[in-house]
Amino acid sequence: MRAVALLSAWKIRNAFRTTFSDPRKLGPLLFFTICVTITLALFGVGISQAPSGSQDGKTIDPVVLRAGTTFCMILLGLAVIDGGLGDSLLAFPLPDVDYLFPSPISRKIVLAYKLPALTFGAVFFGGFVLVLFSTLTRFAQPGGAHVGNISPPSWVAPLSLVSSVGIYFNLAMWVSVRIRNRGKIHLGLIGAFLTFGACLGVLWWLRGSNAVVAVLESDWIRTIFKPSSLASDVLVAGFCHRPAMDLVEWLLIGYVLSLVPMFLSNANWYEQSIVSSERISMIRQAARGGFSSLMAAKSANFKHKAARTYTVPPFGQGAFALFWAHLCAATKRPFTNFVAPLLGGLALGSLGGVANINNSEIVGLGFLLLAGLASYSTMAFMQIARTASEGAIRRRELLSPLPIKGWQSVAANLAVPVMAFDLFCFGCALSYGSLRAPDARLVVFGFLVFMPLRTAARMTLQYVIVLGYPDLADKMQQVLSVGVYMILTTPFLFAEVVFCIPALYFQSMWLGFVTLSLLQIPFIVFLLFIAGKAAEKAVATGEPINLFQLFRSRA
Amino acid sequence: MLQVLNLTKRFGTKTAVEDLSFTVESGEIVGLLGPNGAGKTTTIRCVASLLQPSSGAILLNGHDVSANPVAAKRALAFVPEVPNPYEMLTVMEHLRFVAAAYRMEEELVHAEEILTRLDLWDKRNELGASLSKGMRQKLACACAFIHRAQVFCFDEPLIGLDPKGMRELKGMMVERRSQGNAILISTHMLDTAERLCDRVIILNKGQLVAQGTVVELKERLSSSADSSLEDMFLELTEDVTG
Repeated sequence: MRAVALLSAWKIRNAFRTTFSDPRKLGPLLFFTICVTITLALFGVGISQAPSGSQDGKTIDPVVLRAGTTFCMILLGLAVIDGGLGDSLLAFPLPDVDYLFPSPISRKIVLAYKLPALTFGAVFFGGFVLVLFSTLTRFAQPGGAHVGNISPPSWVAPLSLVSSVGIYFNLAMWVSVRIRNRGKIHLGLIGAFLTFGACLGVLWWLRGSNAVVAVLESDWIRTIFKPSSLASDVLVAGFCHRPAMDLVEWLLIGYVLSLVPMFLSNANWYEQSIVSSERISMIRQAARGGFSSLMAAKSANFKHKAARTYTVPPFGQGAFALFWAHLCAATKRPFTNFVAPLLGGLALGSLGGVANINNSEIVGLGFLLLAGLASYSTMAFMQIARTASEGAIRRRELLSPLPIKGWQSVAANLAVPVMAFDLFCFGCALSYGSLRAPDARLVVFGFLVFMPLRTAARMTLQYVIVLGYPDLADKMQQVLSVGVYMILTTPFLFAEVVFCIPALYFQSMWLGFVTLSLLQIPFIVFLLFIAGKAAEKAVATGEPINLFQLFRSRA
Repeated sequence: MLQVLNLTKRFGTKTAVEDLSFTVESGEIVGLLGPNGAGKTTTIRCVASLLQPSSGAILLNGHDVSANPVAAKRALAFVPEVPNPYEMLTVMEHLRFVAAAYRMEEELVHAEEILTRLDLWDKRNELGASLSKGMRQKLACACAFIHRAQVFCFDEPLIGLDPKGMRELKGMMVERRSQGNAILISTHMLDTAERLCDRVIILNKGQLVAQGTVVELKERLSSSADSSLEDMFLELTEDVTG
């Protein structure tokens, strides 16, 4: 026990030392602290300003609220147990596997060492739910009672939530420790959960909300999910005019009791833990290598009944061979890389088209939907392109000896993300055009010509920025790179605004789209040139790129 | 010291190790050899009680690792193939933690000697995160030597070490052998195994193919006097696979 205590103490002490001695690590911590403080302050102000005399629910039915709260708490509990059936709870850091597991320390003590992490998880989830519910009920019933507004004392609501979620965490940990082959139970739980949700949905549709409330308020549901129902009773105590302290006492007793089976078990769970720890470690490593790597690592967890072979033969020479290699890699995840973007585009185009056709009295609703959702989607594709660019940095040592010009290697590295985005745009254009919705030709042109060109230019600009901030492990550098990217887009935006002036003057959307599309071509050429130069420099030195030094001749 | 009795380890339908039996006596270095996927790491992880044997038993200093893991592990020092140090612990804190875990903090008086021999003394106050791959390997070895273990299990201990580090580590193993410790090493370095190990155990596809001294293996295989362990290893493992 002493060894584990020392280990924890040293880790915490050294983490503090390095954090407070390195401004790069202090920045994210300060940001996180400020966010949490603001959230808690707003929550505290909300509670303190709630009128104490207005505890009567005027607009929210307490029974419905309790049923809704119980449902959400059940979902939270099931999510926690679901996590326990997966890898998350039993995964330890790899140093623990190498140094703690082989040492002569009882497995129960190692479990106790894990308990603070479980408790922190319970506090985090509990706090999140409390803030969310409190905010929602305050919006729904300004000046009246809201969830969590229990008087006195005010710590009852958070404590009840932490205890309730903590019980589920402990049960999930017990399941992880005891059950070796958790896959089937995991699938069963997901199936039961989906069936339960579907049944509630059907019930709502057939008999209305009162029937769903009756099910959620039934004794058997409240008994099966006792921690959830007790926590929801505490949260809505202000609405139901009942004390909450006795409920919290039961929850605390339940929490202590939930620890007993976990620590009574003598099962050798190290084997499951090693598997989970290595898998989680692999996924984390893959996450640093980009979206595609992450998906590949995650899919490796599933057993395929038939071996999937990917035999795309090598093709092309020079940069085209590099592009082909990226394409071969992308075809290993055909749904993620090609089918999903196309389907997403088809769905978005259909949504916008139908909205424009059916709501012709609401001018531009479909266009707003199209523009808004397409912008969000573009952000997602930009993120995928960013991870592809980061991947190119990682492969620098492998690619640098290849006789490929800088701009060609940039184009080859970005081709697949651009293709995925083009498929998305093609889907949008196809579905919108097929519906013959208003201004179909203009929208189709926008999706087929303007957006692919503009996004390709932006992706190339982003590539330069990523090359300029190559330390992917440095979070501060990554945050800075996002800021620099936003600053560097400003001149391009300004140029776009200037080139829109004729279209505004003639009030022609066509003219605007055509002008802006043509403008993207020199942008792409220019940025590809810059990115190529930057790529060559990055290959040569491995150091961050100073954009102003790109055009200087090398010594 | 170490007895592995009819050890079988299955992962689902795949058998990683099948009916493996061997012993490592006091004052003996035994090499565990085999091609990739032969079951060496699985065997060593079972010995370290990290994996639960599907059947069979492992006795460490007379203690069954499944029935009495804490007592069994008290006699064991284990060095994994790719050691991951605690990023937020210094080199010295790693040693202190291991000594505390084995309740042998008085052994820390040897810390300076061990760390100096492994070129880690100057880095004793550096965090695990800042160590290179070779240094991490050395740190894991230092942690293994800091307590009075009777049985040592090394999984590929020489990979990533510089020549001086290799020499020191082999020297430390020989010293421990002379002090009566039992040492099991999994390795691909056949020339090192030939010179360092008193006996070798050759695994292939989870099964024991041969065990004995190099001389005994030569006699059994009717190899010529100048045949190396490498020749015999390839002959043995190709026989089974072919």
